[in-house]
This record gives sequence, C-alpha cells and structure tokens, in this order.
Amino acid sequence: MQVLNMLAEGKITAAEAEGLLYSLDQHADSGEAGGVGPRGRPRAKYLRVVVGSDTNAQGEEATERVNIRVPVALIRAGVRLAALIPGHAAKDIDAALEKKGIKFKLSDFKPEDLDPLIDALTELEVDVQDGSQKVRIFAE
Amino acid sequence: MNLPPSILKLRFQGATRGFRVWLPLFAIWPFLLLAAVLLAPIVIVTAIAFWRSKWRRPMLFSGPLFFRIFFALRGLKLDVRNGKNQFYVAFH
Repeated sequence: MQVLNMLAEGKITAAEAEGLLYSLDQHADSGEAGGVGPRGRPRAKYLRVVVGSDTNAQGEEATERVNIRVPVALIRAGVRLAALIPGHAAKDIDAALEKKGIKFKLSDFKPEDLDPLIDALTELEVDVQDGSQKVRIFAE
Repeated sequence: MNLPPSILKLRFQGATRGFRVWLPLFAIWPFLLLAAVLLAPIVIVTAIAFWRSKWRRPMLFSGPLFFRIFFALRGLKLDVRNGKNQFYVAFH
C-alpha cells in the first residue's frame, strides 16, 4: 500500500514500484517457507558443539577432539516427544530434576516455545578458550 | 521436504583394532512404510478404546513422532577422538 501511495504521489516511477513490489513478494515468500530467521538471517539448521582444537601446541593434529552436529529438526522432534509425556510423569521428572539442582520444569515447556529459542540460536555463538583447549557452541 | 537418513556411517577405532561400517538405511524405508500402514489402524482403534485415559495422546501421536525423529536424524554427527581411539556416528 505504501508503495502505491509513493507511486500516486509521484515519488517513484511505475518501473520502480514494480521492482519494489517484486522484492516484497520475494521477501514474503522466503519468510513463509521458514528459511529466514531474525534480522533476515537464514534460520539455523544445525547446532554444533566442538571441543578441542585442530592442532596441539606443537602444531600437530590434535589427539583429543569432540565434534557434534545436531540437526535443529531433531531438537524440535525431541521437544514434541517431551510434550507427549503425560502430566503426572512430567511432574515426576520435574521433581527428579529439582533434586539434582536443575530448576527446569519440563511440564511448562511447550513446543510453541521452541521457535523463539531456535530463532535465537541463529545468533548464538559461545567461544571459550583455555590454553590450547577450545569449546565452541554455535548454530549453522 | 525432509528425506529420511539413507546411510548410517559407524566407525569404532581402538588402539590396535577398529572397524568401520556403512549401513544402508534406505533398505529399511519400504519396511518402515509398510509397518506404518499396517500399524496405523491398530493404533487408531487402541487410542479410541483408551479415549478417556491419559495415555490417549501418547498412544495416538507416538507413531508419527517416531517417524518425525527418524526423518530428523539426517545430518546428525558425533565424532569423538582421544588419541588413537575414535567413535564416529553420522547419518547421511
């Protein structure tokens, strides 16, 4: 509508208006497909955890290394699985977690809560370095 | 659309011995499809029978969720190395 107003006011030409409308359509299509996260960044597909370094202090290939790649779709499916746990069982799990000092209520976590979390993952990058050891957690 | 994983790569490497294997998961796709088709009516009837029970939802949705988890495994990779030892699992 704003583009049409600008065209009516003569601020832009018909060709420019057509170009703007085309760009807006393209943007809307990519958003519907779920391929774009916050601030136009592509949505994360994998969560990566890398522990260790590529080389050791002598410049040789590192001997200890953990490299984990978890698809975001698997995390989504896991949350849906947790949502299927009946209420009384979820309360038992909550109590067991609290006993271990983990204050996380599984019964309160809903699959709908996951989307903002996954959007936030796109911008997540944890980088911890201690000497030659390095821990990186990031989404890609 | 997500495709289910077609190959599972496994590698266990010890200090002296090890093995690596590629499992063709695509070979079980038809059997999974067949199982889904055959089990679907049974699951639906059981869910209706237990409609008033709290197990209704898990009973009805655990089947589709199993397939969802299986499909989502594509891309999962675990690679743990310690010296000459290695444990590697990857779904392709």
